[in-house]
Amino acid sequence: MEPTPPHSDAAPRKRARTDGKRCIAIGFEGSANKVGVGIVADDGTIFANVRKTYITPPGTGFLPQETARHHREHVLELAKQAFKIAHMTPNDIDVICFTKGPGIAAPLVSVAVVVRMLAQLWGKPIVGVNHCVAHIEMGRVVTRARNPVVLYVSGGNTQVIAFAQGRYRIFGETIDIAVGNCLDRFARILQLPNEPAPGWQIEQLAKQGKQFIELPYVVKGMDVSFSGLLSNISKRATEMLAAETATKADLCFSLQETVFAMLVEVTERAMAHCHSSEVLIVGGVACNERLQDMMRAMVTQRGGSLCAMDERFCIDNGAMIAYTGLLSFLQGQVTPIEQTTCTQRYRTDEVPITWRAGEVDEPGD
Amino acid sequence: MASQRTEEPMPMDHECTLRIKYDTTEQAHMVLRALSVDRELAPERANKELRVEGNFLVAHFKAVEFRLLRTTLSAFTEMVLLANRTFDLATDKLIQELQDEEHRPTAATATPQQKPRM
Repeated sequence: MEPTPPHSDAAPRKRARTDGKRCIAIGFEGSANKVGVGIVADDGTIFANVRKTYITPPGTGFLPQETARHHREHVLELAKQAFKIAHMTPNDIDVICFTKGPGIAAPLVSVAVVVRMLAQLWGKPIVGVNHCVAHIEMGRVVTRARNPVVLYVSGGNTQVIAFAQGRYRIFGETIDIAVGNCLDRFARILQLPNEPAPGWQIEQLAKQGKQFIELPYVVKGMDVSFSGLLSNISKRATEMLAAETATKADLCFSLQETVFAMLVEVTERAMAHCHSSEVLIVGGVACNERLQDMMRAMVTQRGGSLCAMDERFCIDNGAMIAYTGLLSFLQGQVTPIEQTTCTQRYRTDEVPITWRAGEVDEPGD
Repeated sequence: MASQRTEEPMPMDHECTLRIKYDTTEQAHMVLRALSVDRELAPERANKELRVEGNFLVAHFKAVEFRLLRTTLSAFTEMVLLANRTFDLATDKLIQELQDEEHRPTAATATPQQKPRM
């Protein structure tokens, strides 16, 4: 059992396999309530992508320690499953990738400990990955979007992003809670099940909504805000449901229409600013079909195209971490074991996107 | 609250030492490397020192209060248990297990090599 070889990040040298085979990565994700393991090749082929979600009872959310315990219980079994599905063994793997952040510390660290052990046991290098960048790269490879404006919407993040000068720049973002957090918390107030996901429950209920209730619409320049809106609807929901002046479906419908309209507005402004014709939606909320429809309507009017995916790739998964880590690895980047710390705050624009270094900046060319 | 703490460090009067046995000294070193990366959240209130003695991973804990010692210890033991379980995924062991599964008639059928297209 060889310990991890020491790595130098002083002068990164581009890597390529000399035997003509594709480079293969295994990726571990555990930044929120999903723990996932994926195995991918450098051309984007996904051999395995398994995950398990920590579901709590209706009306409750997931807490850091319990979520970490859930991940510790399942991560090793998921890794075995991934190998089984991929018909591979650790000998086929070139690099092990993990989510460095952003995310919740306890679950992140639990998964990182497994990765550090496996890297030593298998004698493989590690690459730490930014979770937000991974969502974007997964979206690009799955949808073949070249240089889109990206709307990244999940339970922890809400950002409008475009690639410029070697980084994914944040053009607009939430100034308080994420849109997914707003939806999840409203689902909790309505005591909707968290299975398969609270946002999915809201989406289904919203389809039966008949009445639109006007809610605060909070767009400030390129930024959005959801916390006041959530307080407003939460307070009014209790009153309206008691007085039977609105149904749960009406409330879900109104909430979705309002928050998605806000997101479409800032995305449209980013498109205009960047002269872009492509929009890619990523993150857990991205699998909401109503959001996709509203976005598509806007993008089509501008003569552009929408790139969207289903829940396999939108929702947190191991393959996106593996693939993005592999892009970095091929540029010669590795993370020495002593530097495999996790960080709760890790902004999308902190990461130099070395694998797109040669590209022209302007989106939509 | 924070300013009170920084004025005068509280004495770390509560201590305890764990000795965890492994099959080999390499195994103990691996776990040490995996668990010494993360920083303590409040090192002036509770911290740990790790070292390897023979086949043993030795963890020494210090904390300003007994309760804190317990929580630090408990968090650490959870991680040790997790690290220990990863030895089951050691290459040879895992390959053996995957092969055993493969030879079972009920082996899961999979469709690898599929490129997702939407």
